[in-house]
Amino acid sequence: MQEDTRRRVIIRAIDLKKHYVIRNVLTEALRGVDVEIYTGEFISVMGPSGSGKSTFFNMIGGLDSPTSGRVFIDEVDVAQLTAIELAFLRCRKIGYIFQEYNLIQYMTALENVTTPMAFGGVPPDAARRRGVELLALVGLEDRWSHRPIEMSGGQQQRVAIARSMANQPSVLLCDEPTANLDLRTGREILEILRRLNEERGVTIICATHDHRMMDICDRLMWIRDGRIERIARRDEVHVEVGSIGGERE
Amino acid sequence: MKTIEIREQPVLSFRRTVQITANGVRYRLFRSLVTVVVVAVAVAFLMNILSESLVRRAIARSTVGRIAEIRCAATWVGRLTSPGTVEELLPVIAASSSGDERLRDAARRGSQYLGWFQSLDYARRRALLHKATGTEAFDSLQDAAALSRFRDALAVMRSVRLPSSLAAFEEFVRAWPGLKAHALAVRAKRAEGLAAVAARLQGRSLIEALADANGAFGEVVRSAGFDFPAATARRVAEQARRTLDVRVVEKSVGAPQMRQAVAGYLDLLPNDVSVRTLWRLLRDYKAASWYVARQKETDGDAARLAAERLVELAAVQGELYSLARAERMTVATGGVTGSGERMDWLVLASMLVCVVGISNSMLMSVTERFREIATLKCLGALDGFIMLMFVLEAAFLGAVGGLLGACLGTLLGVARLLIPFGSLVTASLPAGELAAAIAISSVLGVILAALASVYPSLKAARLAPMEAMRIQ
Repeated sequence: MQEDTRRRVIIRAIDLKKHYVIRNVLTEALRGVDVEIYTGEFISVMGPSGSGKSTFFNMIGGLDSPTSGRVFIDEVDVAQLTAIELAFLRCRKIGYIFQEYNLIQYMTALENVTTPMAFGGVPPDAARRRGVELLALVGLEDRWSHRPIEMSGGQQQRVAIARSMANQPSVLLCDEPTANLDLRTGREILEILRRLNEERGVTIICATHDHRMMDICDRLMWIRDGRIERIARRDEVHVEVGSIGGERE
Repeated sequence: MKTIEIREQPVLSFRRTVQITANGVRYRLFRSLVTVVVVAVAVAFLMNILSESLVRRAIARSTVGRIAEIRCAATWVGRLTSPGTVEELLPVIAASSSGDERLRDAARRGSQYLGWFQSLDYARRRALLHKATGTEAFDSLQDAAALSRFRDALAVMRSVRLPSSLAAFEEFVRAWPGLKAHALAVRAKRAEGLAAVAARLQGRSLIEALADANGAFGEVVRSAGFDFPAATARRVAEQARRTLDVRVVEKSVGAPQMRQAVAGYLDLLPNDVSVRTLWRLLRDYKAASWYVARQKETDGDAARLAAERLVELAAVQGELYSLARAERMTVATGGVTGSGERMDWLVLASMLVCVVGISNSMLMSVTERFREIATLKCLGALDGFIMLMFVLEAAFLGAVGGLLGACLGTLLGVARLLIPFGSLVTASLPAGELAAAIAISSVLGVILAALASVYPSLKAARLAPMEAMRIQ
């Protein structure tokens, strides 16, 4: 599509490293990752479990701090931000979608969606209106008063998507959004994500094992042993799905 | 396209925070109840001990007054038997409405000093006053050497303080001979009056004569120079009559056939029938009428008393017994709570239980919600909001638990004291003090709970969101 706007870098990671010490054993989750992600892009991050995928995610989402290296979100160095500025960043600029949905159990669907707006200082009436709109966007307008426990996994994940869009973020970080869902529901979730990407121009970064993701993303990125193994555009990969891509998992 | 411009995150309104917190508490109702119960038990323990000592003290206070009232006649018998020592006369002089103002003031001070000497332990008294007891102390201090010894000894005792300044005490010692002479004169006048009263007894005992305190004998007492107002006379007369009747009844059960009859009535061995069992029996009107009928049959002394009178006497005797026991059981044994050093230690221990119990349950409720905290942080919650949320929740649970526990502890404490003291508890219940103690304990519950939640919630709030999620 518009080639020039796509060239604008929204997330840039430079030599990102993360080490954990668990019971005196040093684990290198990331061993130096350099990547640039452009605005409006839909990028899939693939890799076996334990490859450092989730760690990479948390780093670029400002949820965890790297051992070394830097993360820039729209040319702002995340390491330079104060706790309050980080909260601001998480609240408005990035939306998070987790494998386990992570909805607040004691809130209704609508309250879950409006909570980030409350944190962002949106007045309650406006928040309610926008919350209902967002729930309609994911097809749950008639279930706004239900609590997570009264909803199916797919419905919960849709509420989570609505919540992540609460403050119109520029980036959506999805950590295995379809892993806990059956095939059909998973496809619905992917469909919603693709729509958000196309209609609203939201940059989507999606960790996944799901091969259907390949059909809708712009670029694919493979991580293995804490390093980026390969980044490819979808049209390049398509050829390989039958050969290398198919063997990967 | 959007650009990122980092600004400060607004702080969520307090009302909204309260709403979210209340929502959470309602959702985790069972967990919250457990926390409330922990707080309640801890506070109840504390409050139980506190309320017991408060009620005990109130009982002790009212018992002393009530006993003096009930023994009014006995006091007057004593007063009319001997003129009293100088020491006993000092308060009388201080309270008298006539006489020199300076003498009255000196007498009041004198009894104050005597009370202070009494409160000293043996070694200190010995060092200050050598062997002198009572008013002898003032006599011995007339000697300049003894006074200077007193002064030196007092200077060494750091924890002991005279009720007045040393100069005032020395002034009192100088004025003592005059006061003593006055007291002796009062005593002589009293002795004269007593002789006059004795002359008018006409072979009766004092208590028999006092039964007539309302009438002619009261006049005799008054004319002998005693302050004997009509109201006191009425009460003394009534008590004297009651004492006489009590004697009659208690004597009547001494007769072998009466003792046998009471034993048969109560299904006891005759040897087990005591005055106590008799009074307990006579509290019941039916039993009292039976007793009177038996007395008439055997021509006993108590036959002239009505059954109603016996019931009335039995009630007063019962009260006297319980008052005597209450007086014995409520003797203050020191400590901050007024119920002994050991109780102070218990209160301290219960506070400790309170703190440990509450902090443990708060710690639990924070750690089991790490995922929720992490999620809220992902959504842009500030550290302050998360802390406030937990501290608010803890304070709320603490308030509910504290109030519940305080009421429960008080109820238990009062109920426990009802067994030995019976109606004395309800009669002298220190409602105001108990209410204040309940309020203080509830506030303590709130503060302890809030404090106990500060550390774990601060820790949770400071964690990076993903670290918090990993811990779970």
